[in-house]
Amino acid sequence: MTTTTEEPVPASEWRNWFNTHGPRLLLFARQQTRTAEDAEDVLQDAMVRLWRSGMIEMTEDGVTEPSLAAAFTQIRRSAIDLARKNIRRANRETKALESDEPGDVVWFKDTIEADERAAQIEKALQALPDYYKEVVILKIWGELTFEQIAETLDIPMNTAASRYRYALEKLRRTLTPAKLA
Amino acid sequence: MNLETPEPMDNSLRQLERELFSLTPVDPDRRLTACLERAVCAPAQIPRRAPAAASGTTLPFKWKRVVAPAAAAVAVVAVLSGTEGSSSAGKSRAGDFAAGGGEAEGAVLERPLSRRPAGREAAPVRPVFEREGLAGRSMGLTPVSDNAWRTQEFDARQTEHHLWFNPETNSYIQLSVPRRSPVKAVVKFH
Repeated sequence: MTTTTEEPVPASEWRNWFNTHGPRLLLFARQQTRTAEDAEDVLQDAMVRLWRSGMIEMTEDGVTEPSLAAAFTQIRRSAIDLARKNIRRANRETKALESDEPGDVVWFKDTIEADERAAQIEKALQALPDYYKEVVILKIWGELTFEQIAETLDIPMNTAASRYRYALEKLRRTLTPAKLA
Repeated sequence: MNLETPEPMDNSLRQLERELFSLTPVDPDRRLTACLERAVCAPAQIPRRAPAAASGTTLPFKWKRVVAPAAAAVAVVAVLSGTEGSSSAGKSRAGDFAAGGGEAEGAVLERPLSRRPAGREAAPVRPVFEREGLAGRSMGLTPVSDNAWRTQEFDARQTEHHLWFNPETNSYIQLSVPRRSPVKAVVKFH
């Protein structure tokens, strides 16, 4: 069942849902923005929109919560809104895209824990073009199907699938082949 | 793992995919989690709008203290509603303000909403108009012709509520205007 709601959100439902999905949502928000602060702003905006007036679904257990795909979609929309709000911000993002340099935000626990291989993969992943990066993140950590990714990113499903494959191949070329063996 | 690619992948790609799966995204820190919980779980407030100052197209929404709030409120309703008998309705009410305290009591809207330029973004003021149901009493039958047609008169009583929200200050003004008007209902006897 799908409903819209303006009722206060039960804190326990929200907490359980966010404890489960928070890390992957934050990861996607970071991928969609250029700074840690922007990612937090986008995440907050998306969560408020999603839970307050977004599409809420009732699970088999009778719990009402938004779907993960809807959450990713809302994060992407909020990121686009944020970029449009401020022209200077958008210009900075364009420059960042043109420079093709990875951001300085750490995405994975493994990197924080000084795992050299993880750091290498993260660096390669962050250096991917955005249209590859977002597909990989939604696929690997978002655990979405290509159909859901296509819907979230508003692209054809075949495009989503091929971008995923090209992204992996590009990562493989970037990373040291010997370490993949 | 969530593996579904259109073409089969070779071993090195599959290994790379497994490596990616093994990486764990960073958890949101406590500050962010608490901040999000406050934002999401707080009681619903007035919907957010674009800041008035940034749009440059909205009229300022000012509250003005007046000496005789009830009389001024009636005058405002007379202007805004544009209907007969509003001032003669007499009893109006200005007050019941949610926030602000000092400036709230005895205030009326200084600018009519109709001054908003056409085609421009709406001012952050939400007008709400409600009308309570009709109530009245029969005034008896009045013949309108010699035979079958009659009318029955009712003394209709209703209350109109005019409410203006200002989301920026979370304040509002409400005017409740009681109205009385005669209503003639035509009846036919068979």
